[in-house]
Amino acid sequence: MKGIWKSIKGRLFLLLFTSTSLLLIAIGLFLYHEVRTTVLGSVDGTLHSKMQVMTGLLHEEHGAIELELSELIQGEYSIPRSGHYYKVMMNGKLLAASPSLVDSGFDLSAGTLEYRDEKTREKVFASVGPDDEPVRVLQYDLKTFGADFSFFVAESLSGSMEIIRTFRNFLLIVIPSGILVVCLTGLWIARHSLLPLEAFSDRIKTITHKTLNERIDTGTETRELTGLADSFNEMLERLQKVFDSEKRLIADASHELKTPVSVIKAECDVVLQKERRGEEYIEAIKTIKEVAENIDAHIKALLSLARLDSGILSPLSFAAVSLNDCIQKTIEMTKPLAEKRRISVTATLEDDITIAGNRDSLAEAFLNILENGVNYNRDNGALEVSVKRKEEKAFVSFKDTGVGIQRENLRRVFDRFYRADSARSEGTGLGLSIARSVIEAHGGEITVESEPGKGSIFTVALPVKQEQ
Amino acid sequence: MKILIIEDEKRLAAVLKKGLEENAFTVDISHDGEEGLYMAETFPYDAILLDIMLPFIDGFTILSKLRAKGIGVPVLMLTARGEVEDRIKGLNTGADDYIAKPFDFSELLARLKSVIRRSKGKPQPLLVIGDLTIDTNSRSVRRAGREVRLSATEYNLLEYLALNTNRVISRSEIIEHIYDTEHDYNSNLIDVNISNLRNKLDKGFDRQLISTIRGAGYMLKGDA
Repeated sequence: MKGIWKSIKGRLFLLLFTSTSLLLIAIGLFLYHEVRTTVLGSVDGTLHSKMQVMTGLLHEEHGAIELELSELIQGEYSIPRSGHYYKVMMNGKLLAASPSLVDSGFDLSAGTLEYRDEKTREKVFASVGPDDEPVRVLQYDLKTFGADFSFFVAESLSGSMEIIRTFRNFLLIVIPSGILVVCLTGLWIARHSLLPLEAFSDRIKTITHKTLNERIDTGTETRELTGLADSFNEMLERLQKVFDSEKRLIADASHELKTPVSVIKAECDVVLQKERRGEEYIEAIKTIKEVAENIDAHIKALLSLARLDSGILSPLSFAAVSLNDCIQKTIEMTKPLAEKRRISVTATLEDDITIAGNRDSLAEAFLNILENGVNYNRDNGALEVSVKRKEEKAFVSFKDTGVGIQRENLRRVFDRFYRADSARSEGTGLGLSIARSVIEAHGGEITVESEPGKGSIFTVALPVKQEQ
Repeated sequence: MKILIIEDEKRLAAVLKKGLEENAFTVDISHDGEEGLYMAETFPYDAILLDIMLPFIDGFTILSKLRAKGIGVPVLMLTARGEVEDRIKGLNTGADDYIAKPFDFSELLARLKSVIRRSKGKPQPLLVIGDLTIDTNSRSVRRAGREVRLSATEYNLLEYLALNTNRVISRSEIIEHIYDTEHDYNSNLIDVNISNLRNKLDKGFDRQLISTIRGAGYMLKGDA
């Protein structure tokens, strides 16, 4: 039963079955009752008029009271078991009975009282006739000629019952078949209405991760399904985006890793070509170590990105982070790299600003921006960091005296694996993308302005932590 | 045999140069597309190793520009993308072969030699001129079944002449293809190398393989 209720077809069938059954059975019962009442009413009418005639025939002649039936009336009462009966009692004794009764002692009133008409003082009984047939009996009590008379007129119901029974049988056939027809039609309609849904489902089944670019044609769908198709297409759109960016990341990553691996391979192949002096092996191993470190940096950066992509930075896990602390620490970490090329790193800090965030991720982001500022700087250059607060936002800017960025490339510096043409084989090309992902996960924004040849300014805007 | 490597990964370019030089190639390097295109257009190389992702001008563009100018130098593309579309694109643009990173150096060497041989109309690795056989794989030379021992430069000179049989090779062409452009060369060096080759190859034989075309250069006569 639960199973049926779960299917649309089953539910429709049950609802149709219940409602049409109730309706048709009610109509049937009503009709049956009406027909029965009408038929019996007409019998009662006949009985009533016959009773009128009958009482009018009672008269006294020569001191004796008798019932004088005209021949016309006598006819249907004279044939035994004709279905028309009468009986008249006077003071409890039989005065007259129709010959059709055969046995004049037959008790016509021995039945169940159907109703009593107070106005005409008539009683109607349902009873059994001399032929064991159902009869309707009308009793009328009358005081006249100084005696008590009881008149009984009866009519066999065989004919009437036949009509009622036929009608009942008719209903018993018509109603169930009506229910059946309505339910089957309903089922057929349901199946037909659900066909587009099945086609829709078949269409969806053909979509796999390889065919994510396919869309359901909303134009050809049934109007009720276009909404569903639209939502489905939107879902496909979102999935495809995620899938594509994952695919691109993997393709880019393998592409980026192939070059350093080929350096290692070629270095090994070449050095093993022949016997060499010890220094040559040392040189080769140094190169291999350098490249291995580069691969390691790539893998770390890729993991960072993958973790950021999976949404590891959730505001729920954020803690209060002192911006000054974070910046000073990352500047300390950058200094050895900067000192090698005699680049000065200075910081101008304001009153401490607290932001809600993940300290390690923010440090990674700042470190990446600082390293970028050192790597693309000129020797003896400068890198100035300043922190300012404007209303509810903290602004951290990193100003370098480096090569700058061409106007057409400004948009691309945060793209994954983007590297300036002049330094294509340096770094991972992921540092600034990671920085942007981290900053954006903190509800912030990173922007860049640059003057080629003079330097660039990276500015990070972060929302200040609201005081509780 | 002179090769140009256009590859922006400096360490890869350096190790390839070293490896190829140890295999008797002369190698020039360019780290970006612009300079690489200029060098490829200006100097006669026997083959170019071309990376696809390059600063300023990418490998496909360099290749199509070279081909548009009618420069048919054999080009071996180095690609980090093993994808079929890239290979097809490279070959359709006019690359002679491609090799996917990371590669085996020996495979690179074999493919490089093969595209050079094919470009000279000598697809077989074994060069046979009369009773002279040169195995370009093992770099060994035999005359009438006897092994001839040659220095690296002598071998390079002979191989170049053998790949271009029946064609007069000028002294300047020899300089361009055999000797390192960066080094100062002494014009006499060619004479010395040629005379050494003749001593080792032709002495005692009726048929003299290397002939001097006065005022024009040298030629290795093939089997007519």
